[in-house]
Amino acid sequence: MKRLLPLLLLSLAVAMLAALLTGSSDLSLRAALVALVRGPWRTGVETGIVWQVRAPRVVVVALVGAALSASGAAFQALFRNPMADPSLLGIASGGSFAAVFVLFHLPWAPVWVLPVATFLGCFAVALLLVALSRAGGRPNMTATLLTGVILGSLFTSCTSLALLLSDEYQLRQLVFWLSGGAEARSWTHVALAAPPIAVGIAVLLSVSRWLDALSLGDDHAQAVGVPLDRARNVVLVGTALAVGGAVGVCGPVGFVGLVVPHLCRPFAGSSSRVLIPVSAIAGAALLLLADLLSRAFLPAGIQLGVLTSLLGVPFFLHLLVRERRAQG
Amino acid sequence: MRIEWKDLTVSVKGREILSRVSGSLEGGRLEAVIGPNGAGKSTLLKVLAGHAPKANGTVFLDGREIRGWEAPERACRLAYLPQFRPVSAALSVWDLVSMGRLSHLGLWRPPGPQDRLAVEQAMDRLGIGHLAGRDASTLSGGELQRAFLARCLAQGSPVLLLDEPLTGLDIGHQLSLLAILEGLAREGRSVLWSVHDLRLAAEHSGEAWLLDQGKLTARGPTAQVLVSPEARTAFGVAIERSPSGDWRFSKATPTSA
Repeated sequence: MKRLLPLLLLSLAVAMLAALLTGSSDLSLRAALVALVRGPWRTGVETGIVWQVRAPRVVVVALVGAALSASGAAFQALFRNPMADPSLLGIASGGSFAAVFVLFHLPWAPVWVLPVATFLGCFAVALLLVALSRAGGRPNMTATLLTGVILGSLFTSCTSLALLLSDEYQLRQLVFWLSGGAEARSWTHVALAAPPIAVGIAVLLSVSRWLDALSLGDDHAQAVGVPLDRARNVVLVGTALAVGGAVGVCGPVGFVGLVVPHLCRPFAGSSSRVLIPVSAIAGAALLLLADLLSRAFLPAGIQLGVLTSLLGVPFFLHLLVRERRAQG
Repeated sequence: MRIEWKDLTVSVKGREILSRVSGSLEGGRLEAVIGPNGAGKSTLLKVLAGHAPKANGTVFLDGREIRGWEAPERACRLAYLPQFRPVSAALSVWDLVSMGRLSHLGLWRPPGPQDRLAVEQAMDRLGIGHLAGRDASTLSGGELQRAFLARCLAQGSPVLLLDEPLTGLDIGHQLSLLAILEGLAREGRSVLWSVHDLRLAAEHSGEAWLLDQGKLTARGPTAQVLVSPEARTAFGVAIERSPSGDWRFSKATPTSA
């Protein structure tokens, strides 16, 4: 951890810097750097581009990457399931549906309603998932995954229904939002997303000892003194806060929570105390990288969520095969 | 510390897995739970550990109903080794054993010298000190078993409920574990363990509880329980002890009784 942390922070800083210095406007690297160094309080086009257009986007992407990765690591411990990921298990779909509901029915609502709604949507699905996957016996990996996927598709269908019922202008807006992206994010978005994400990650980190015990099974966790129901609820609240914050500002960005903790585990181990912060930092850096890639190589308008899914699906299949092989 | 249970009954789908089992265990005792497969040994230990919310009957730990204890308070008094010992996560052995200190530390307090000492002593006692830095998912079955036992010891609880602690250990480690259990009882702790190897039970456990189809059919000094007609019925095996002290087990011919 002590050796890993500076390296991780350095790569996050490099990723942030790279994202700040590149973009669609033809601002030279030098001019961008000058504007960056001079700070946000200057006037001028360069300052505006770097500090009002790029910087909030960079912060939003980093926050979302951190939130999704940290909650993925926590979910994998809670469900003792290497495939558990809040997006894959329908949690993010619940948040998206709540967001679409708000955008569709309450367009007049103040901005803070959106993150609150996405949190509630995520939390509701998380509770449903736990209740359903435990109904009728011990939850196992397959049952949990199936339940989550089913819940996810239920809420995706609800979202599609909302899309079908919307007029053309709303439709464009919703589809854009639903494909998961960080275009045109402002400091307002940062202000909306940062508090729930920070609190969510802090909550998950604070119960990392419980998560470690839970990763060995309910019996062992209870035997060493983990209050099972309380622990589960705290993890669900923390996850819903982090994922809800991310979904509220960026739409559903899939597979980050699955991929990042897996990449980190070989270096950081499985102990949540280390894995959650490492995943959060690495996730922020990696999502920034993905955002850079999508802007550099994909046609304009292709959203971040599309890219993470394109990369994430083969990764998921690889994990699935590996797990099956490990189980013999 | 005393643990006492009364009229424990557990039913699953209309079938009684445990029916009206009562008893108690005092400090300083090492007692074995024996019985054929499916007799209810694991269920009994699970209920005594407070892990079966749907059990009927009462369990009193240190004078208070088991479900009345907060989870960490209970864990400080009672260490339970479940039978199923999975390792999906790549935790280090040190982290695994350190989990025994969770109930003492709570969520945030960093481990102090006495916590580290408890973990080190537990690992040394079970002979896994050299494995501290190893990834637990790379251990052999027997090493993992000892790591989980070390977790129980590190917990420092006066009552220990161990579900088949000998499974997966070679004979050498079985004997050293039994010596550890006897040592724990001498220190004044209460140890209840379930076991399939009746020979080892006879040689190392003063007293035994015999479960048969969920009922407690015999209890007393292990040697007496083993030669009782109840044991013969339970196992379907004739158990004899030769004058030289050797145990003989032979498939019993069905009796009309």
